[in-house]
Amino acid sequence: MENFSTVSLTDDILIEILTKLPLKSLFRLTSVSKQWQRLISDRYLRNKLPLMLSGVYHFPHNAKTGVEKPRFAWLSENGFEDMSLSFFPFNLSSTIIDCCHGLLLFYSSLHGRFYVCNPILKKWFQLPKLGKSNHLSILAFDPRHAARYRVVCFTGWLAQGAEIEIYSSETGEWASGLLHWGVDTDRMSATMRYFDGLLYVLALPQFVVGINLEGMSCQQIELPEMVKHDGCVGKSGGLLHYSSNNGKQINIWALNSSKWSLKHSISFQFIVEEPLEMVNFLAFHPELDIVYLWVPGKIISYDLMNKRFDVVCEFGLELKDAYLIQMWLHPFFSC
Amino acid sequence: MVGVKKKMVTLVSSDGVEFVVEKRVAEQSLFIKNALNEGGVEEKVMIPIPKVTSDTLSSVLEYCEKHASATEFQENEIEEWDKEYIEKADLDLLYYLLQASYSMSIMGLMELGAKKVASLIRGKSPQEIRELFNIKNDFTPEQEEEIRREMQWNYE
Repeated sequence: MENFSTVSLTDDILIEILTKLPLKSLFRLTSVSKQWQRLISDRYLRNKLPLMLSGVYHFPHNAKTGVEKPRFAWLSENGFEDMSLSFFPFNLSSTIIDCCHGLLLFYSSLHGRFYVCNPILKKWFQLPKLGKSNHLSILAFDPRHAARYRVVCFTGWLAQGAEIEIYSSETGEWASGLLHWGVDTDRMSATMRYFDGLLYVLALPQFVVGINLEGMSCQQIELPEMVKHDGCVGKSGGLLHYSSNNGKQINIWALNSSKWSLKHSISFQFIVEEPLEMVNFLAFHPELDIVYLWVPGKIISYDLMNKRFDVVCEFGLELKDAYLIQMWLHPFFSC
Repeated sequence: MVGVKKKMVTLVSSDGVEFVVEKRVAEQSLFIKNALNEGGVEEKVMIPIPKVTSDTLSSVLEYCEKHASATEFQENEIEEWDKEYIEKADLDLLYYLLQASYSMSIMGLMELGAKKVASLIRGKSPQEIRELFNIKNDFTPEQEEEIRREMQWNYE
């Protein structure tokens, strides 16, 4: 075989080459040599790789087959690719109960166990048993912020707070905590998003509560407009953002120095002919002024600066009726 | 028009060969562009290009020449040209082009070369890649086994 007869590639040049490879094949190459292994697991290289887009979707209720389980897919060069979860032995006996930035949280009521899965690397981990019953469990993971993840279980509701148990992948243990969110608990929605160490929960009709899982402190932030049809918080360019679909348009707000400013309004007639309730806000791009929307059968990106729509991916016939629940843009991670 | 002199610069390769090229061609390299800006442009300026041999530099300048007049061509014409240019480079030249584009800061050439090498890597096993790059496997058998176990799904 013809080969490079010359001296070895320097780190800088090798990084340029490696960032041109598809992510899947990249991880196979850690076994080439120590230099390759070091570079591939390096944060610098990770930051140079394109962001990954992954999401969880399900099919509507089907009278014949019953309710379909949620499924996980990511955007690869082959389109929106369904990731088989068959590597995970409890796939059939447990259910996806949450997902965050490409990691999945499973719960098996049969075994009373939580499992965290990385479907792209086909890794899974069983959490130690939680000795309490819980009302709601969520996964808190943000690879831009830290390589660890947490599982938060709400074990008891208080008038304006909750008793919680937190599992941290760093300590490998559950720890108890008490939250006071300063808002009536019955106003707290189940719409939660985790960024930079803070768990954001919409408190209807017009607040978002930021929960610091490290210090167990809560911060109430008043929203610039009420949550009507659909509201979503996210982080972009380091700032908290809020999108509100009021039925006529989607307003995009940014929080800068404790002040909300209206960044953009997207009018629906420019998007699709679909009825408004069929359009869902999916995600903010973590760096750029781009937002992602779901219209039946399609993921659409909208560039706020250039006011331009692009179809990110269109689902084929077999996924025509699928419904995308959540999606994220995140860097590659290997935990 | 006769008599209008184009601004020229002289580049000197590591093996001492002089290349006289138009300034706008040489400035495809940010390294040269900065060197010219710092020095205040004078005619007969000589710029040494360390670590780049005459063979490589001549190929690099072919690329720079084309891209200095990129505006005269359609985008797809340039793409076609790039494709042919990088195809005809053998592996050694490809390696030297990458090094040169890095040290001379020619981003377009760097991209082009890196993509080409990436396409050679795609679909190859780690052992085939070691052979391609003459890389010594510096893992102990135990370490290799551990990586293999961790990455097992890749070999499925």
